[in-house]
Amino acid sequence: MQFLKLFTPVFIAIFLILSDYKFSYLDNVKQSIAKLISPIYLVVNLPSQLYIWIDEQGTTKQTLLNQNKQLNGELTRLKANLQTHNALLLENQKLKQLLGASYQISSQKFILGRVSSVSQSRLKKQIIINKGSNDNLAVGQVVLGSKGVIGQITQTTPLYSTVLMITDPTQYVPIKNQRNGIRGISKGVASNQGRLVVNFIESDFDVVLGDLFLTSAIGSKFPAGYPMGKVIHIEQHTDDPFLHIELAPIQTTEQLEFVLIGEND
Amino acid sequence: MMNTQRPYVFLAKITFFALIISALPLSQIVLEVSPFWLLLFFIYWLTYFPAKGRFFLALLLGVLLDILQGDILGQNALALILSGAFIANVKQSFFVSNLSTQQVYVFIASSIYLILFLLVHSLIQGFNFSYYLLFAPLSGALFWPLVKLALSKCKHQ
Repeated sequence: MQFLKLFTPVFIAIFLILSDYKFSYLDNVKQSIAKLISPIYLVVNLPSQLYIWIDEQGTTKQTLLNQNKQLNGELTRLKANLQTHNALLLENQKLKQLLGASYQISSQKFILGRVSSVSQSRLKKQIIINKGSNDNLAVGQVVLGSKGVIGQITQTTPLYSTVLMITDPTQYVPIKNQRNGIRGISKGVASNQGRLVVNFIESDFDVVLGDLFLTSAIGSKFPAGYPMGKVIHIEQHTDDPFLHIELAPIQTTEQLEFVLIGEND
Repeated sequence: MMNTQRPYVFLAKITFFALIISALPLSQIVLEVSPFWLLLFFIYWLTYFPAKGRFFLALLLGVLLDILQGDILGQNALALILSGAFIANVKQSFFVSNLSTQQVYVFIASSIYLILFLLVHSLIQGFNFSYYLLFAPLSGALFWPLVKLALSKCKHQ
């Protein structure tokens, strides 16, 4: 009897581990329990929300005017950049039509979210954002920062979503070198938050320090062309056919406040 | 009837509190070396509250933590059940021991928790983790007197 009392829950736990790893039968149960315990995030975020509220209340009119002026300047600069971008996009589409290519650049819409907290798991590198299923967010959507890719939504509750970052060791992202298009797969390093390693680039390929890697959209997991990281270390081993490349992520979580979530088509 | 309910009410309260502590945003290193809070709280409840179905409760609490932290479902649950089983096995001795002996027991229970936690992780996602995690049992043992003091105050309220 004592044996059963201990080993029944043990077997249930092992069953849960296997079913969560191999199948997705329990996803709905997980979502329901996540909804039930989501008030915990509310309590955890209460002090920071309070701080933001007090900070906003205490902001002087002059500070707001200065901020507004600065943001208007930034907006004008971005609009000017966008004109060049739009012209290039049009030119690209015309060339595609002339060549009869079927590939089309998709125009994606984004939702703005705020980072609620950073990393509360020992083994996963993730952030919590203040948008959830109430804002039509779903598992798998891509999250971007102002400088580059942050990660992908792995869990949603009505008010919050969990984003698994590109620096997590289980997050594999297809990438390409901006300079010459050489492709590889990046993943995070467990012991270092600020590093990515690139796999499957052969040792005779041309990669140099400072090269910028972008998302390549192979597998359609992440949209193409968003900055991932810059090469900071290259190593070549005689017994290994692949280069050992390390990147410094372009988008870090330090001082990260707002994120953009790509809407599903 | 009231008396039998009390241990579960207390467990619900301390679980809520432990989950809040577990969800606090901390820097990566601090998070990795921090104690397994839910285990510490569960050890206290297991030792000082006689109750039935303790391993099923460990399963339930572990699943809650798995979902809260986005870990593999059952990973914390398995670790909590078996480390809880160790404490249940030495319960009599634990109950009458002085604080430093209790800290040794907590260290062993936290080590069992860590081994199972990393074993599941390694089997599924590969042997890839930060070595700062190995300090978690030590910090658990160091924090045990504080947890015990705080929960004993709460228990008598």
